[in-house]
Amino acid sequence: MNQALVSLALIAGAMTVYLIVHLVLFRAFLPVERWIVLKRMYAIALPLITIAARSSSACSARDSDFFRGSDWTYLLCALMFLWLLHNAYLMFYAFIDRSISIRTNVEAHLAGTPVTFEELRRRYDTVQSYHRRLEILREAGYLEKDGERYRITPRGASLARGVRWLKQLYRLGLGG
Amino acid sequence: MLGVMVAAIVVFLVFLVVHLPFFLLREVKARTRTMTMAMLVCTPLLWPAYHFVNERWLASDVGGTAGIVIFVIVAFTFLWFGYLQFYFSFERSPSLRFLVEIMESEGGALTPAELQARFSFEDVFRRRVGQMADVKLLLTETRDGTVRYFNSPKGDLVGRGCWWVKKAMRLGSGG
Repeated sequence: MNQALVSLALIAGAMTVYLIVHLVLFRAFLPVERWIVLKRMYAIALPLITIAARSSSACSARDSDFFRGSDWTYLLCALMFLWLLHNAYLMFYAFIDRSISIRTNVEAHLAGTPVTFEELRRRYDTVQSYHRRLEILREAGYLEKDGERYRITPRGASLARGVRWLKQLYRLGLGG
Repeated sequence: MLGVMVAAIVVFLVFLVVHLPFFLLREVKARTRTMTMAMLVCTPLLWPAYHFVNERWLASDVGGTAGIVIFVIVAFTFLWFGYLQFYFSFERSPSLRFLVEIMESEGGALTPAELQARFSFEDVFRRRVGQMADVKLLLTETRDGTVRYFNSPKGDLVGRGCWWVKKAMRLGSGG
């Protein structure tokens, strides 16, 4: 078997372990700050996964293309590749969890019959979703509660400035 | 292997350079399509880039052609996915728009009602439903003078699949 493919299979295996573990965690503990859990789990798991893949490679494919060269080269490549996989997974996850369009398709599916815009909006519950997003921003430290108001934190302000600059750069209008 | 990663990054940088002028020079409507086309145009550069990088600087990678081709395409595709995630986060995210609106408000603080007055989340929802109808994820029918929405076969596949994943991961309704 092609050594590069063996390496690819090993990395895919490592990512599969990550997916299974986080799925078990989600189902067992229902974490509230799921995004943070995903990132922390990745940070903790990465060295372990790298070592496991390295050991597996030594056993199964001594001259594997991916694992050739000095240790730093190997480590750099492994970390980069797993980071890419993790990023792709985060995109999928954000898409499933946060996307308005996905939720709309789900609600239309659950409705079973054609629904008016008002019914669709009622099922979606835009008010609840609106408040939920504000609370997520508060929990993440971008906003803080000041009586009835949400006040932007320095961290939130720097993110907002970056977003505004990017929107201007790409000529995207206000968006959202 | 380092050659694969470096080649993917180099071609990804070329992709950034290729697609950015479209956005900088005029307002692009079909943004995802523009980025996908730029990505496809750049993909054939992966192979020469890999050989260039490998032969000039590394001279270390060996292995079957098929494996290298798969690796370099996978690495480039994931870089592109990461960029799409980054792009859509600032282009589409209502949450980031909330931050911008609050930052630009006097005193940097707003009540939910004041924020809603500046940037209506319901309008976002209305716009998204319209966009979904445009790309045929939702179809419409008019009955008794009222427009009704339902999933297209593609939209139903998405809705059903994502509902299953949401349930499996216990994510709640989300959105």
